[in-house]
Amino acid sequence: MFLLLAAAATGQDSERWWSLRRLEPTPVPAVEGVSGWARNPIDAFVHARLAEAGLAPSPEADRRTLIRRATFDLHGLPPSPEEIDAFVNDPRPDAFERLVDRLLASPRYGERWARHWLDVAHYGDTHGYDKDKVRPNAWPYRDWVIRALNADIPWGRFVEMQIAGDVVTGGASDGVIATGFVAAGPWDFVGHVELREGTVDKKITRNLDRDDMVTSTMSAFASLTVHCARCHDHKFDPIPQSEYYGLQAVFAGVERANRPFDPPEIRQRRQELEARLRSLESSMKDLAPKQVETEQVARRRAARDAAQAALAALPPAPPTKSPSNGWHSLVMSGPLHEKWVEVDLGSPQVIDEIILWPARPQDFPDTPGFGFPTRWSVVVSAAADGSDGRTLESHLGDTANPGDGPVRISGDGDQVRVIRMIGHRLWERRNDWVMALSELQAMAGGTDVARGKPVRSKDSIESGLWSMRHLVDGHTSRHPIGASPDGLRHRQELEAAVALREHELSVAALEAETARYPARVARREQIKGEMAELSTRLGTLPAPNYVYAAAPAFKSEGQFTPAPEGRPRPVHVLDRGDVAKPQDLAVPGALACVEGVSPALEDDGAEGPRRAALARWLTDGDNPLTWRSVVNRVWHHHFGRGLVTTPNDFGKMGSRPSHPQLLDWLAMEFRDSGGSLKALHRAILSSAAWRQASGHNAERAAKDFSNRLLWRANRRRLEAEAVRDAVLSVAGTLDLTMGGPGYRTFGFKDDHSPHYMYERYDANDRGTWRRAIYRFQVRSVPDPFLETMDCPDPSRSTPVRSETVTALQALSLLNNRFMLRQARELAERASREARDTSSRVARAFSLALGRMPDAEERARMDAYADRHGLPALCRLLFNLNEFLFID
Amino acid sequence: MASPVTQGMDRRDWLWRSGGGLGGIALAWLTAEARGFQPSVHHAPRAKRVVQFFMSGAASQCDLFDYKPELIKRNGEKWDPGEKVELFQSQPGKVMQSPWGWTRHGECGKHVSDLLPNIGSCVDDIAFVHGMTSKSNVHGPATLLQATGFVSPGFPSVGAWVSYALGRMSDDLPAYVVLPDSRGYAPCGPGNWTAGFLPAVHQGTMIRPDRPDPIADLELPADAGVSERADEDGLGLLGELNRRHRMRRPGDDRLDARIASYELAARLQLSAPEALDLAGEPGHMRDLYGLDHASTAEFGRNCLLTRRLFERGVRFVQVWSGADNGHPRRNWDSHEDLKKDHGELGTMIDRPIAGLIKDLKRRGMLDDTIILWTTEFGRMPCAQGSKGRDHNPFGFTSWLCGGGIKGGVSHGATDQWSFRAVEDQTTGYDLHATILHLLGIDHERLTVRQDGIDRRLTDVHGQVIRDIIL
Repeated sequence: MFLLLAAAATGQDSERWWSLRRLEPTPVPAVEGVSGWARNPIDAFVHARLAEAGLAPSPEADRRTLIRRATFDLHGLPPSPEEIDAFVNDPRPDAFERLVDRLLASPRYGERWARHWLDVAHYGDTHGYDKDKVRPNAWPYRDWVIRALNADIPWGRFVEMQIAGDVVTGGASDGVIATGFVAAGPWDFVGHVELREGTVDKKITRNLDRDDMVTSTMSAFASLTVHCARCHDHKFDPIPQSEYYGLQAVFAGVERANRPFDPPEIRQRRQELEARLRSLESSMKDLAPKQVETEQVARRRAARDAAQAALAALPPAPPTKSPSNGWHSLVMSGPLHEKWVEVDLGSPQVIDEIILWPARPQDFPDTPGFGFPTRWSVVVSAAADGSDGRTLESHLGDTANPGDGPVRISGDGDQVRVIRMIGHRLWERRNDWVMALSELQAMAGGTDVARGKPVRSKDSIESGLWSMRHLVDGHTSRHPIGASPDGLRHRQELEAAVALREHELSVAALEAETARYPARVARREQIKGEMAELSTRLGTLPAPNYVYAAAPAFKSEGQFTPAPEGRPRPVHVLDRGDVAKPQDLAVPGALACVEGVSPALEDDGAEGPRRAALARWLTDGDNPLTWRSVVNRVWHHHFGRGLVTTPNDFGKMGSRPSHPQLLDWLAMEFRDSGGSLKALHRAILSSAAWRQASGHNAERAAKDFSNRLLWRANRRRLEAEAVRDAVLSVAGTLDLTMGGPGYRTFGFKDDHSPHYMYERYDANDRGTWRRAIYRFQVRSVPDPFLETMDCPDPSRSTPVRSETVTALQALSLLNNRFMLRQARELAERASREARDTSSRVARAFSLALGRMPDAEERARMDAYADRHGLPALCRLLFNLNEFLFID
Repeated sequence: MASPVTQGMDRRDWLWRSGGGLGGIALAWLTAEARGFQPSVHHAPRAKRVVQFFMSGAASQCDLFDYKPELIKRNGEKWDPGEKVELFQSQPGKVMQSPWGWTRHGECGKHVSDLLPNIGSCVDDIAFVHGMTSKSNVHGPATLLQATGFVSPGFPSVGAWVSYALGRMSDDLPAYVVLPDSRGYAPCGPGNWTAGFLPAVHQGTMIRPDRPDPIADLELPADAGVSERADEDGLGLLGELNRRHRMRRPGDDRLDARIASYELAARLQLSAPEALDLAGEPGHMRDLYGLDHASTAEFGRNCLLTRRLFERGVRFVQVWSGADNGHPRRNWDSHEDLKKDHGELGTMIDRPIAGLIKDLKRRGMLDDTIILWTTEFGRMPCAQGSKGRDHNPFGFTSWLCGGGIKGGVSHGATDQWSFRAVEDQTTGYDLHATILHLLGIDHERLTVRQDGIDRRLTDVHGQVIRDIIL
């Protein structure tokens, strides 16, 4: 390891690493003496390696095993007994090819293989991290993956759509949706929404977020661990830190956010209407009003100019947004708690009026009058300690909520230093009670003398946009308050006057123009009418849908805002990955170590083209990584292990290919035949290598225990989702509805950090009896049943699932309510489909395992079912090794 | 047999290879018995089990263990630490002394807050680490950092690493048990006890003693329509059918492991309820852990359960004080009212934790049990609002006890304000390295390759804190 390190550091890595070398045509080895076994070139490669090691392949598995293996491989579901019989008894020489074609043509194929891809993309339906809020628009991406796989779109297209689909399709819905890949990973809500711009933690948050985008993209498509170069040059692979940050720069203009898109037919209508609108706009240019000067026009222009001058003479308008919500008490579990907040004016003085502005928080469902108590009073005092308080206003019976208010209370002409508002009965929020107020003004001679003065309260949440100091910051929850409310009114009056004079002027000008050029004016009015109509029709189109995807522009939320003007944010190389130590500005680019493709990416500083350029780099026919990566992933899922056993890492820390020539041959075949996954599946499944039996052979095992050279098929345990899908399928209850928001296997309660309560899942809810790909995937709290079966945490990319055997798995399969309910369903199904106990037992058994029980098995099961009932027996069937392992 | 740890090799690979000749790939990591209960270690261990107490929300060092007379002297004055301070959600307020007084305890004379008199009485067994710092000032990432060694989700937790390295000491109970706060999960929830990319067998098994089903799916539901007798007979038939299947498929130990897993499941069904049943605990034990006071009953029960689980072979227990962020506060994140929130939580943990220390000591178990008390970061010495404190990642306190740890010592220090760690700065990595060290493991050699990186619990950091080791 130290040698490698030294070599990487000194640049003496004379020979290029295998995965970075260009793809070279590989001759298919001669297939001497194996003509009886080999079925296609794959077998020639496999056989050559076996022969080298003095090994021989296994014979073909029987048909029953083949159809079960093929159906799980391609659908993740078991074949029905009827499908098995039909295949076993199919005399046609191409029966197997027909089987594979049938399986590939079914939409179940896309559902199965989307699960594999989403493991790599680390897709989830929540944000993860501590608040782990719901991500309600993630699923359109999941559905797109399923559609794309079923449609067998070329791999190059599949790649480019996920990195820059919005750019390469010019904003087509599928292109926008596909970039859900970039946004699929976790997202730190607190870091993005709550931390202030410019703080160190904000920079760390953004750095880690882009790191996830870069890591995902390069692991998934190129099988490289570029993320190892975040803090220093990659220690093992020839990837300098500058290139890592160059890749961060590619994603520096997008964030993970909700992005609008139209369904295709609406998009077409919207585009048509917008095109017509644009063409009318351009005709309007030729019909611009001609100035015809008349006395009336001149008079009205003078009036307009005077109104504008009056408005311009006002001091500049204050900003229109508010930076704060106001003050907010602690949250109580009942209404009858007294809360108070007070302002100390600093010295006793006479007050004309106290103005209370109710809150209307920006980060809460829009609620005017938020937190205004139903019973309240205002007490004032001339002493600093409030000792001689007198009540100015009191509502000890329930009062109506004032909405936006404001509520005005006249002064009593005496000295006031402290003004205290007291809530006697609190305002109900959501099953809890609070008091809040956005601003308290004390007007004296037209000036707010409370502004910026010290505020005290019984208690205060002091969190986010709420703080005691915001009670006197000159802003309601929504807008600034003018120095005097009258000032604001005056500005509005002047603005109205300008608008009126402007209108009068345009009427006069039009009259004058009409008198001189009647036809021109008539034509222009006609086009205006058409434009108005088009606008109306545009407005009545259905609102767009949303997908959680790579978004250059989106609606701001708290401190989470798009990059200014849609330009990528500058990215610097960071010394030791430390945001406090920025070095050179990073230049968007790809990797120089890959033979055959140039690392330079076209860049004009705009956001979209960078991603499109990276997509072109990845999908270039000469980029060897992309093509090796995908065929290895497909191989992994058909054989239980990749030719490279580290599908996300083709670098020096990953494993070397067991069959390098085969890997390259597959990569080139795949690339050159148009990148069709379905063609690749056909090639692999029709090989003798794949069709081998999984039986043991002690002599061969002694030479190659782990079966790295493929002298037999690998027996595979079903993954968590496949277990659940198979149980439903066998029980006859599987709902094959495709797509849409995920079904939930938990009770949900929204909060600052939402609660996901799996113990509240009702296993009898038929709406959840769908394929597991359509499950709502929570990141922080995994589904305990699936997790026990090794379903991975989607916080990180999972190219290879771990496979464990635990006592908790046994308990879940035996006792989980979902399993018990489906065992009953299977019993009912068998009862419907067969007449007596013994044939019902046999039916349930063959549904679950794809074969009939032998005489002894049948006798033992019959006896058990007679004694304990069919549901108890069906429960056992789901616990059999033969159900969970595919030969 | 070569140990996986000493060879620095992926356990899965190791078992895969050794399984060929020795029989028992999957079986080996399934059962402790198959491995002879022998952990594989790098050097002689001082301890064999760990409890991690996690104060979720950020427990305040300057109100519990980090005594600073300056805060009392300058209480209410403008706070000027001589630098610009960037706080999580507020502007620095005035200097605020703790609402509780301080008392010197034990032979070492350590100052501990009057909020924690019982823990105070144990100081001669405790090593305080006052120079703690955190990379993150945000609860989620900072909690993960202490629980898993990384700020991003998806990495194995400390307990999972310990289980992976050392395996279990019994086949009756899981190696790694988690007792969450009954009010809810801490930030990142089960992400804090995940196995990450380690095999799922190493994830923390959650036990929720307050629920009718403390371990999910442990028991056959009464309304399942399957009788107890059918369950028993069924296990017999299942074993028989699985063994017939297995006979025709030699050379695949996973099939044996699954058959064995049902036997282990049956043992867990017997042993777990017994371990969780406190009915046999005598009155003085209930008193020691505070089981009969409303304020300490839940945490006391979890501490007593920890001792019972340890006695029955559990290796790692993670006990949580504090749930998610919500209103009203149900964790240590006292932005608004420190006296109220820390007051309640401090009372909740004080007697139970001290009870566990004393109980383990009396039973001779403290010598090989490490107690780690930790939190994600600390709190500011200045006020937020008038009664709260904002986050402080620059200096906070953790402490350890038992299992080869020196008692009555303090390592590291913050400045006069309890603001920044200025002496012997430490991190969660150092705590993790120290714990692994005491368990006989070199933290730099316990690795698993994942996505091109030999991952460690301590990433590329971590120093064993020699000063606090006996």
